[in-house]
Amino acid sequence: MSENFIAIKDLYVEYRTDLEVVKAVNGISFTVGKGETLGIVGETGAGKTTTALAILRLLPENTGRVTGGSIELEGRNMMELSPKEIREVRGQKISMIFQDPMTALNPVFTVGEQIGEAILFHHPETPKTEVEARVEEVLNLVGIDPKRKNDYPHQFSGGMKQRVVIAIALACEPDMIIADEPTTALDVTIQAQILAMMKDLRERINTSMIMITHDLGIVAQMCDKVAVMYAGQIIEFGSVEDIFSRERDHHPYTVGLFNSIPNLREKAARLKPIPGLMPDPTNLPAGCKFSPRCPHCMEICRSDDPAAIGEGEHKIKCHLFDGGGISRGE
Amino acid sequence: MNELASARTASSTKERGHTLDRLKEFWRRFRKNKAAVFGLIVLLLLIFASIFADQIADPALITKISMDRKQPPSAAHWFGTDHLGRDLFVRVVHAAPTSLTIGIVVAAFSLLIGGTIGVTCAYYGGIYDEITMRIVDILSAIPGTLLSMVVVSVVGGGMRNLIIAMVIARFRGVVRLARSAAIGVTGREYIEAAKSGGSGEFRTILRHIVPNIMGTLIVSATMSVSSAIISAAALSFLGLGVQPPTPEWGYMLNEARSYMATCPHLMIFPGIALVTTSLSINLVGDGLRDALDPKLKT
Amino acid sequence: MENKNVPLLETRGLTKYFKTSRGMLHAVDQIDLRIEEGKTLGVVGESGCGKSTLGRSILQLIQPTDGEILYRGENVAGCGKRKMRELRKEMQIIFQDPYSSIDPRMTVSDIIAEYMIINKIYKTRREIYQRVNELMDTVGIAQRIANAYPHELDGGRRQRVGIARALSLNPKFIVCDEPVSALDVSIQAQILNLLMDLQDDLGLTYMFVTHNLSVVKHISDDIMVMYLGRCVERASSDELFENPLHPYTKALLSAIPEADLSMRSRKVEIIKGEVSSPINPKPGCRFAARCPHACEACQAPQELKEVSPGHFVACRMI
Repeated sequence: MSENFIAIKDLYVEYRTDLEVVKAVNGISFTVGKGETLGIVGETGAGKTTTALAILRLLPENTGRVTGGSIELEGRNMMELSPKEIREVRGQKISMIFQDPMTALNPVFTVGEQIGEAILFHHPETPKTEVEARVEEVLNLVGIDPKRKNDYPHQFSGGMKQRVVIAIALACEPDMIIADEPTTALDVTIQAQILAMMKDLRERINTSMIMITHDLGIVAQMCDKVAVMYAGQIIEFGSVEDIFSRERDHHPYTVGLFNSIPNLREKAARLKPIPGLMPDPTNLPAGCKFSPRCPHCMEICRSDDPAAIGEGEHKIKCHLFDGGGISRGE
Repeated sequence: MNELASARTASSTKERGHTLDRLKEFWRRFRKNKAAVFGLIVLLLLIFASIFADQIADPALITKISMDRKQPPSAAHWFGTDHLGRDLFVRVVHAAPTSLTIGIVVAAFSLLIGGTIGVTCAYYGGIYDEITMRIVDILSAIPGTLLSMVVVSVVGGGMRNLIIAMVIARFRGVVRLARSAAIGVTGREYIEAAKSGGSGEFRTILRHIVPNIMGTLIVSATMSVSSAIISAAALSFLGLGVQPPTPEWGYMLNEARSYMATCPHLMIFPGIALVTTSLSINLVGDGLRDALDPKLKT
Repeated sequence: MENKNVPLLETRGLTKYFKTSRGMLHAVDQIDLRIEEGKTLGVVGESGCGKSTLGRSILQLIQPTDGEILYRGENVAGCGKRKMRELRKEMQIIFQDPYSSIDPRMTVSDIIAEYMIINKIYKTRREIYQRVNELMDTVGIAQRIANAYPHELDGGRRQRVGIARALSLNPKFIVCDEPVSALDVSIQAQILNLLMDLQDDLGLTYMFVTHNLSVVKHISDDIMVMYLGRCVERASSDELFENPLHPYTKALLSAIPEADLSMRSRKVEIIKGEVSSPINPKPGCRFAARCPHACEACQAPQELKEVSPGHFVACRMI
């Protein structure tokens, strides 16, 4: 593909309070190249948002901490950047879109001012006319009438607010956008509009993207590569073709995720959900984190954390595939 | 929901006792706030002193005038004597229960009256809410101290009337607070759920709304104890509050005014007592608020 | 006395308007529906379509402005307090948000017991708590969390508590107001299975309100599509998905991102614009402003027409 824009290696992130230590991310590695879209799929508590916050060093100060691994941006180690340098990265090289458009915008400033602020922060010398021009350009880009730049957030609907949020993220032409469940709070028809717009923008500006979602449908429509996260680990990784292919092997959790979604085409009497719950991150099981819920759990799963094995890009962290195939051990 | 929050909810397999665990958690958080613990210790000492005032300082000496006037602190008179030769220590100690009683009673009644009005306004809404809140607004236009002064001048001084006057001045603020806290709760689905199960209005308010706003109200009530004490002192200072012979810090401050230059101790001791009491209650109130706020992670 | 020909629940012209400072908000407008006993009617639509208001109006948690609600053939709209108390035992609701639908200050067993205590179903506390234990078993929560508080439980368990509570009075009809939308995908599946099992075991009738089309297809026998307070299409579940007729229904179906790579580059029918205001709406089709096929005829009120057996559409063009 292209040289890696961002490379995460063996990342560990914890939240630490007096009472307990929450092991939110437990050794993940992935890369995103220029112009690529990586989908991070998982349920609540899998560690997806924590990963995103860790990349931009936005973890809560008192409690969140990166305890291992590295995050490299175009070859530079991000953990070593000074606070000033990391502020320059945010919004300029990497922008983030959060989940809830209702609270992401400041209600006392107009949308034009908020977009302008993003520009001025990174390029303080820009003359006012240029800032205005760029604000209008970016509003056009996201499908909002540029004349609305003097409107306040409360004058926009949910979908429009999310477009404004995206506009702010794009204001400085970032090389990468991290979108954390950007359409979860929106209606499905509005979601379709936003996703189409994001696809279009991606082609025009060639931004890389990390799309965090729990919706496999969005992953299928938008992503080139997919990382399936569970209990702070990437238990399966591959190209989107790898993950959605029925012929290939998959991690039992991935299978369970697909089985949990009612299929629009076929009618099943009952869904086949995964029994149980994601483990308590303050008290993770030894060995494979999915073992307590896995229908194929073997002795070794309870004691040894499996390594990520696979051909080419497609990797699965599962003992079933350690020496060749599901037939082993059954 | 981030990992920290989901960790808390995910540990559901452990069984918890009820109120005991909640109290333990609350105490752990409260304890971390050194200032609050300090305030609590001081407050407890003050309460102790109030209850055992008679044992600590002979009540007969409260009004006992003597020829040893305006004496500075000594072994015989720990705080010295005032302009009438009365032992200041005895008077300061015996004023403590007065102030604490006024503070607590005023706060309690304001909470009861203001809370009831505020919660019912929030629950019923409509015309009742509109009219009541307009009345409260109009009343709020009159400054509290002034209102208390007016009431006292009409009905006369003395502790009982002082308390009534202060409650009238203060319940307005509680109405607002209770109403806004209750509005935050009335929209919740569990209130609808109660209705769906056949719960009547009274029951819904008592069992679902009140318990869920108690935290906010308790903290505010605690803070208002200290402000009531100061207000009572101010009014007594002006001669509109507690009347002699009941000792009261504010009143003592007033008496000491004329002797400020020559006998500063007459002002210092009651002044310190007043400030200490008020400060300790505020510290406890702050600590309560922080300990009860679930969003503040420590 | 049960007449098998009479649907368990029927509404005629059910309407709910809210008075606002800017005018009359048409939340629910002239809804006719019928649900046979033991069946599930799915109600789909996006925000502002009125589906939640519809559910609450049927249960009279909100007083309807107009229309009839027929429970077992008898009109109960605007009935008196005594009748309402009886009805509460027959018609219940499961709420959307497991985080705000149970009182954070009550333990699990108290929450489940509450309705029975209010309605004096049993004489002794022992009987009540025995029934609570039975209900906990029925919905799949462990006995040992009986004394737990809601904040100690995850979304799925909380929702089960809500379901146990709804079942406690042995209702026949339950409005499920987006009961799985706030839950993770794998928990959603568990709860959906539970609801379907309960329907089979207890003979329950559901009105299942949701915005999620895949879920509604899975659980419903019939589906009603709502837009801005009106019903725009109604059909059996299979028929609606195989043969959607109303432009809004088609757009809705087309907008769902499918977990299927072959659909990746298919052209999505994007409807432009946003939902128009439900306040003082103009007569005529409310979808016309966004409809790619709108024309003059759409300005006149649209009627629900039966275009094939059991399949109703409100659109001039069909």
